Amino acid sequence: MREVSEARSKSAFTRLFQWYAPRICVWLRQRGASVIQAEELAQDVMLDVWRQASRYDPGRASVAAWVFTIARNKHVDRIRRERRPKPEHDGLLVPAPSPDLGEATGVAQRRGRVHAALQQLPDAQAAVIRSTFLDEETQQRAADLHGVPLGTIKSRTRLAFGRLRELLSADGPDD
Amino acid sequence: MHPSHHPPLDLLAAHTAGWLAEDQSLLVASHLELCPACRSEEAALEKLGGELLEGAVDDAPPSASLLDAVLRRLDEPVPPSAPPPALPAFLADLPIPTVLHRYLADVRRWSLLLPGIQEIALPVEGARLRCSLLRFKPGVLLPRHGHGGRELSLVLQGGFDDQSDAGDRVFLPGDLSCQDPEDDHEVRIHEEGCLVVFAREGRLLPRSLLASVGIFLGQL
Repeated sequence: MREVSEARSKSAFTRLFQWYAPRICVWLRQRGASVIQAEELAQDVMLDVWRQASRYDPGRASVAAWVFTIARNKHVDRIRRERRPKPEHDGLLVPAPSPDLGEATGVAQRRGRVHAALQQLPDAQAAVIRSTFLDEETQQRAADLHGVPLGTIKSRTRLAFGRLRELLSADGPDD
Repeated sequence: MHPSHHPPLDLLAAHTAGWLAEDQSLLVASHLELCPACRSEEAALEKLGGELLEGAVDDAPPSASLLDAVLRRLDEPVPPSAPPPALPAFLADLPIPTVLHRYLADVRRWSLLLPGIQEIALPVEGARLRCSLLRFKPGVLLPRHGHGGRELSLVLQGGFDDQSDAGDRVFLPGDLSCQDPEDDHEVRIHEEGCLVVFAREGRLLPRSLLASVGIFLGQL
């Protein structure tokens, strides 16, 4: 990543592309994008990775998490643009401001707490939390798979998140 | 600012994952601007998103020409990004989160919702009923009512006391109140008044005669 952001190395970018572009396409198709839409959006995402590389802060996020947020923002923008009749409000999702430097240490300390807490959850609860990062259709499929109503899956998700929050507040200092 | 009332984690996760409706997403994003603790949780959830992205298995690789197409575009000049829209002068002194500014750029004035309550509706797609800025005069009482769907309110200025079966709670700037359909509550605005942004799905359900009249008058 540093070769991309500092040396502006196109061969390093090519390696990033070869790793992430297929994964972004899969993720977007899981979110209901067609093959063509997924490829178009993946292009835009990777172009942003190149253009915004200097803004990437390894102290704040993993490369994967950073690429994930770019892909998510592009995806959300596209969906809202499609639903919105007038195209004049382009790109409504403003990225959340980065935490200031004083907070970065706290973020680094807390990073991994969600993961640590996930380890402590029963498998079924951890699974529903992971499914939150997929779409409603995935939740519907999970409901079909387990032969329970979608509402049950949703209430399980809520329960699991409540438990996760308890675990998060039980360990580690809150800021 | 260190708010004491936060979005439920499922809401924060749905926002981070990118499938929350625009109105609720705006409320969560506004809270995030004001809450360092939730920004940390957001970062942890984004890390989880990143790991799920890493683990996305490819069954049909993208076409080979995709890389060439992107490589050709790397040296294109970056299109200038539009300057963030400015708030209209009559709102400029209010502590309004940055994510909301572009929704308010064309607004001219407050409209009267009920005596003591002014409103600016936000042009949000997918707002099932209402997504607005609300400004309450000091001491306004919202009689006991329930909700037909989830209601989120974020305090931007001033505050209110919230009475419900769960107990008495105080909401101050940065605090996000999340009322689920089964929750009833009564709200009393603090003496300095209160500015909130809120998003609600479903209708309000009156729990007293006074609330019925208010809901009828305000067409809440």
